[in-house]
Amino acid sequence: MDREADPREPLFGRFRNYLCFLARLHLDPRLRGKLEPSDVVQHTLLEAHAGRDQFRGGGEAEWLAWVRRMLARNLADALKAFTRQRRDLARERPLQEAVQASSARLEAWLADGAPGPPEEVERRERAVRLADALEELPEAQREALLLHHWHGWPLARIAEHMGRGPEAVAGLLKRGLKRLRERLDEEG
Amino acid sequence: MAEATDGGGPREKRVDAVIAAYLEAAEAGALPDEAEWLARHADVADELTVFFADRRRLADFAADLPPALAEAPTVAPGTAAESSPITVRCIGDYELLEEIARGGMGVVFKARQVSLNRIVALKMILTGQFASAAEVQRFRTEAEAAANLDHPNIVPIYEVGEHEGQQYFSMKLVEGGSLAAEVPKLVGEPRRAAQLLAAAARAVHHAHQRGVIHRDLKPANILLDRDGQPQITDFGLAKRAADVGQTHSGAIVGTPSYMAPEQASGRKGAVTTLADVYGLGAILYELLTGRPPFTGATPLDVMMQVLEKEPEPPTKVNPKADGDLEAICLKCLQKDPSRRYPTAAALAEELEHWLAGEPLTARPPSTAQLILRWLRKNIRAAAWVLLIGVLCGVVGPLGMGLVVLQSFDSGFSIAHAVSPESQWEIPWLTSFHWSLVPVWVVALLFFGGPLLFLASGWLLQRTVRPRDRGADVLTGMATGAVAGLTAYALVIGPLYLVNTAVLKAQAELGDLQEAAHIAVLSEAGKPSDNSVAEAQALKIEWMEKDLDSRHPGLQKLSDPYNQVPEEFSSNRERVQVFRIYGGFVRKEQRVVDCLRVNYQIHLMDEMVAGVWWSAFSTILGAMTACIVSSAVAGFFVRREHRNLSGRGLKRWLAAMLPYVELLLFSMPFFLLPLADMMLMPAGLSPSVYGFGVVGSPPLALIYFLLLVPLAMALVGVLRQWSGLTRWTVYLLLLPHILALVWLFVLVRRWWRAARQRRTNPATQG
Repeated sequence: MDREADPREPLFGRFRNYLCFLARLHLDPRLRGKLEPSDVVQHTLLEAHAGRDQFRGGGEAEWLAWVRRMLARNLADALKAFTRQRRDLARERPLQEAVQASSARLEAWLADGAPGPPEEVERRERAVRLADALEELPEAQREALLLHHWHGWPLARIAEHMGRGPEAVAGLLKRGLKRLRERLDEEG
Repeated sequence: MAEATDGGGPREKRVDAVIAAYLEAAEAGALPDEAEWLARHADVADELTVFFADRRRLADFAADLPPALAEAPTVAPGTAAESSPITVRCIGDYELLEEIARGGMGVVFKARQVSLNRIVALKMILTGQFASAAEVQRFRTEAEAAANLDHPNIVPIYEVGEHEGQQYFSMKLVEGGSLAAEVPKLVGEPRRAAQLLAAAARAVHHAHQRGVIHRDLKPANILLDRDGQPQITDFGLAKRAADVGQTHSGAIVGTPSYMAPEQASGRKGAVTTLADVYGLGAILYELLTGRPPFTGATPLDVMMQVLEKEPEPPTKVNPKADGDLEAICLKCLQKDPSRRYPTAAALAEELEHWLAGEPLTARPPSTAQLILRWLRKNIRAAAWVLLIGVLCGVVGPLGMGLVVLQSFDSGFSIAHAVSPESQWEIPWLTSFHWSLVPVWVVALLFFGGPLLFLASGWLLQRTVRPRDRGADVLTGMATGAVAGLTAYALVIGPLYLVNTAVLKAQAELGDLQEAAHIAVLSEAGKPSDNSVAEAQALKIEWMEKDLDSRHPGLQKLSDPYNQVPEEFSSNRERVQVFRIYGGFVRKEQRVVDCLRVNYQIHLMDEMVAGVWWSAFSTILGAMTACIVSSAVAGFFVRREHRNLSGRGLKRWLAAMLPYVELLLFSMPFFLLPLADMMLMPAGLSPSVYGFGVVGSPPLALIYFLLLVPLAMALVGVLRQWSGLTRWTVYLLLLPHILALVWLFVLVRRWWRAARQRRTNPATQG
């Protein structure tokens, strides 16, 4: 494809991990395994690609904000579809709570209740790099880091959620952090 | 991987335990001093240092990534506690009691209005929905307009206000739940559903008369009070929400499953009161079937369906649904607003008619209407199909036609040589010497025609752009049918008509030439024995072939030859009589008369055979064109769809598979006429050369059967029965199985005949 024709084309690949990270952040951890964030991200990127003519912003930041909104909407829809599919949801109280919490969070996110992607190029670069590094971590380490640092769950709750002991979670965090630093260092 | 097994050696376990203790201490609130921890656990100080450093590093970086939001919803930012909604809160004059519902726009609480000490419903709008103060103002104006509605079936709005930047309004608390929860029950109670909807339609009409359009009618927005009466809520609010959503993200926010197409397309100013009629229809649809008219994995999917697809008839989803209610429902769901009920009141009346058992104004569209509407919608596609079809139909068989016409020339020249005054029913055909057409032109047309047929698929793909396989098959078949009909009407039909007649005329003229030759020989007084002998030989031949009994004129001749008949039943008889007459009687004048006869070729006599042949060649041509063009168009269509899994050859195969399958089915279709033709020289086919199909009634039947799938494909695509379209393709198998059976019968007959010849050589003579 002609690069001139669509300068945003490479953005799709570059921000995939970042968007995945956002999706993980906004879906309740209890829904992990029920809804796959990367699928929603993939769908969103396809949608963004299909609707790229509609996007009349200027720079990367606006584009990212636009895609982010689309992602939030798609996540909310995926949640709704999930609720519809699982008519027996009422019986699974924790899951129901998770769905409610997630949709409330997404609602707020859609309503711009949370900060969007950083405006300055440099900070955005750093965010993307961190997201890339996170995506490369082993699943368990990433999960532990996400729950601990971003969701702010207490150690005991993470341990319960992941079905491991607190020490094991601490180990995951330690190794995850180490690996993350190595990754960021070698790139930077 | 190492992280799969928790921990490692004992030292690592110790480190992990220390870190865990540290983290737990940090969570407990007492921010522990790193140095103190290092000192206390000197044995693992190195690891701890690394851990602390890594943590700081991440903290640096993480500042650039957004934090996860607080776990509790954002309706009351700051006061939210983990996973439990608001406990006791006050919004202005209202004390929130409990959360009732949560929707796209905000949250509804059960609340107590303190000053009046009454229980109300309080809906809070999320602040972020609005971009500017002007829009907040517009929202308020709109809400106030809705607040002015006074109807027993509309939830009254008490107050519109603002609290700490959050818009809210209070309304009557309706405690019976929403229609959405009642849907499964109401599916089995059509009368109750109709009553509810009629009441709702009256209420909507009331609002319309006061200039308020709901725009987001759906079961969730129709509440039921204690008496089971419908109460419509959220009046006039959805409008603002949708508009604002649009300015925000360039997409449409709302409930696409119930959204009218003009609303989904996002055209400003297109949404009228008729959008609400659509919404009521969508609710009726759900009450009949238990699901909204359109569902899909994503709102985008649903929206595309709303814009492009006709809803599945309710009776198909729920066979028990009432047919008349279905008609009413489908009339509401028309894509074109002008084809819906003109007002919500008209819908209410229609429902009341139904309840009273009176005749309805809505009826499901007939197939003719469907075709008309389809044509209107696809006028461009239809024009292209017509154009390409006619082009193929004219140019395709032209090369073959020229070859046939050139073969006429010899016949024409004989006619002219023998009888200069010969007359033809189609003079223009003979006035031009077709042999003069350069060979390269003939060759170009001869090979270019079929190539054009092949290219028609590509042309169709470029111009019509069929969206799916059904459309693609229909396009191909329609083009093929147009091409076949054109070829029949303009080229193949007339040509074969003439060809049939000319072939016969050529034979007659050959006889005439021969007779003339004999006559001339006799006249010249040359060896008359010769001519007598020739005539005698002819006579013997006739007798052998029992021609006398077939031609009454000849019978008269086989008697004394002086009884020459004055009138003949046909040209051929006349010729044959003069052959003998010329040989035996040598009446010169008669011969000359014969040669000067105003020879007339009777095309019309051959009409029947010509029509048969042309009809079959039409079907053959049309079906061939259908299969070829749909296969080729299909290939391009599938290739264009890039969502096929796999890559390279695999994807190509995936794209081609349905068409390879189709071609496989159609192979016998091509092989059959070929086999017929190949068997003919052996004298085994029951057919006469050039009339193979006409000569074999079973074959004719088989080819007629091919018209059935064509008709079925048309109906299937129009009514969007994907199953039917698919089965149509498989139905093409049936004629081919019959054809194969017939082929088998032919081969067996040939085999028997060959064996008989071998065992009984006497018959060979």
